[in-house]
Amino acid sequence: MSKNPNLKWLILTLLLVILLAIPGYSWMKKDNWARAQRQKSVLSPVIMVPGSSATTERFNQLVRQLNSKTATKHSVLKIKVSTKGTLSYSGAIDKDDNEPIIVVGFQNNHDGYSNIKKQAGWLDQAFYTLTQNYHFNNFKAFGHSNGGLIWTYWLEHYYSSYANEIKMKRLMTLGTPYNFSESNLKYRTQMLEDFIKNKNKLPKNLVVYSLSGGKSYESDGIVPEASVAAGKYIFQNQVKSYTAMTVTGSEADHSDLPQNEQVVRLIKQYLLEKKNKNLRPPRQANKKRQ
Amino acid sequence: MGGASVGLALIVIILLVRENKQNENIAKINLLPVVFNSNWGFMVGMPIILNPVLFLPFIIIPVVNVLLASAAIALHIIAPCVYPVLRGTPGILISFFGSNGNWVNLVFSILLFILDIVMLIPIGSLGQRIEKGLREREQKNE
Repeated sequence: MSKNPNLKWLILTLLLVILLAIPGYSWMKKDNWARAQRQKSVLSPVIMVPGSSATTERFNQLVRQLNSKTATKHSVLKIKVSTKGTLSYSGAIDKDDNEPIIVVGFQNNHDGYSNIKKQAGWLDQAFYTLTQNYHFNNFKAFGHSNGGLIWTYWLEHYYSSYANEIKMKRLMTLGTPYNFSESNLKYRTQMLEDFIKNKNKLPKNLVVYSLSGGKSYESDGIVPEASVAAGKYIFQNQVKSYTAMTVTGSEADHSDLPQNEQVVRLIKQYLLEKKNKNLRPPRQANKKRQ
Repeated sequence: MGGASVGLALIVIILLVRENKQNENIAKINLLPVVFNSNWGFMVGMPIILNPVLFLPFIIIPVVNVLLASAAIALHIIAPCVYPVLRGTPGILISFFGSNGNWVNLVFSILLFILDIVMLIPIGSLGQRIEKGLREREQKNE
């Protein structure tokens, strides 16, 4: 029987498959382990994004007020994203803290639609790094002023690649000008038009709270109330529930809103986990019932 | 796990039992794509799609594979594949990777692959006989 030359091709491909299967096997093991860790984890951070011209130090007093009334303190991790996309960290997440606060700030924190788009991209870089370093399968989002716009843009353009494994449970925006500084809803900015055009990309199981400050009857000093109210064209009938609230009184102007007592209470009531929530990991399937 | 290895089985048979030069060339070119699970070049080139001799086995054999695999899962011989597998993973390795590296799955896939080869041998020879008959009839008509 003559030697079959095809035999050598078959053996070569077999060797090639085995050669490629070895790194494939170790990648697969690592990826499945990370997936299992993520599903088991009870970590559920709150990720906060400040507004224009604000830094990662913006929410310091807010965190202090949140921590002053509770027994378990939230630890704070601050991430600053430079214009080149490199991350610098300060602070740390405590080992036993299941609800840490992560503040993401940007070196370029200027106003304007084009900057919002860039900032959403930087937010995504920080978010991706967070998903690689910490295992969590759900989180809450908070945005003050332009931070809410950045979250909305991120939800419409970047969230879908995470949606299978990581769920955004609640989003709270504080004084977010969905129509920038335009106080007449008949004139819609380009950003508002784009948000409305892509509103079907918003997750259907998200709970959204939009807080607005009221100093005069028209605005909170900087952002017109009509602009914050424009959020209804984006979120209403798209997400699971959309609740709009107006906060007035002392410290209800735009820059003081994060320190407002009512806002702190609303964050505690709606954004953070309830006190008696069962945060234990799900029971393993093969553990015997006792 | 079902249809993943039947294309490869046919290629192996064609390459080892060298009868038809044309088929052998098609099989040689398509060897690498089919190994990594892109069967379409082979299915259009053979042709398999509307070829009554080859089309039916290409449907029946994966069904048999799936039935055997589900029986094996029900009997707890092999683990079900719940983990995501990258597109382009070789057909035989899909069930191995999908069950997070369960070696019994790998052995079972290889056994199914050998079974596919055994089931395709009579069909391959039937196909060759029909083609030879068609060619003879063409020559007679000329």
